Amino acid sequence: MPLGAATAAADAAASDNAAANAPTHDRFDHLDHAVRPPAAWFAGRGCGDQPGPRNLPQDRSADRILRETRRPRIPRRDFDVTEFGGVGDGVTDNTKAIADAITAASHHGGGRVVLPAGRRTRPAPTATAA
Amino acid sequence: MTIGSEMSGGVAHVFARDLLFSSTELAAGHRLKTNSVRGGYIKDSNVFRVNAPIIGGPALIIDYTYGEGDTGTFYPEVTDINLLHWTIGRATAAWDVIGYTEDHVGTVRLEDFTLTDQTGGNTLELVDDFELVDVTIDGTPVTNG
Repeated sequence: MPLGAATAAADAAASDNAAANAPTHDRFDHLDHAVRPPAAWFAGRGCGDQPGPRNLPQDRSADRILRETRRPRIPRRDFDVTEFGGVGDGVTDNTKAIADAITAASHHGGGRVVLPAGRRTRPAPTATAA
Repeated sequence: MTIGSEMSGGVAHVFARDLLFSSTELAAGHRLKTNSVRGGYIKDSNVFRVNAPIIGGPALIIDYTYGEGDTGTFYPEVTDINLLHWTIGRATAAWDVIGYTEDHVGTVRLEDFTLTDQTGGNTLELVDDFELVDVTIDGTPVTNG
């Protein structure tokens, strides 16, 4: 998500929140939402360990999730729908071309399905491969 | 720490720890939003080592009458919800847990949970298994809902 959009979304969410009038603290807006803030960000904000026993079974489960979780790596490979029969004339039904491009990307272990600029027609949403 | 309401698939194995609720206007400490229109499951949620000086609502809300209420056919499954090692200054209630007659809330467990100043009442309806271990409210040990 572009930074501007992220900020707009955060502002929209904040305006819906009854707590919007509460004193505002420093916010995450300037940070990439996909990345955990650096440790320094937490300093002096009262964040961090809270009272209670540590090394609970729940701690071990949480630690295991942290260890085993990786950010997704999406191959830098493009699948252009025009190479699958797509035509951007505003008339042609591109349903099959887009579905085929998605399927091809999926079969190749992921990538980016690209619709070049143009006017496109795709009448009905269809289920697609992840 | 809220789960839902759009979770028609399901959410499980949630761990949230070492939380300081610095806002004084939170609608809830841990809130699970679902009903028979939204459906899905919430299982094995664990919120632990929580320090909450002031919560604007209850510490825990699981209310199946939320939103559209019981007007759908997708009965939610909510079970194995754990609040462990909570220290709360003030809250309107410790729990507000309401299931359906035909679809109860499953297991809910509070352990080492202290609420110093409760300003309202607790609600507990249609829950199969509600466990309190080391729970103190307004200075008094509480052993059942």
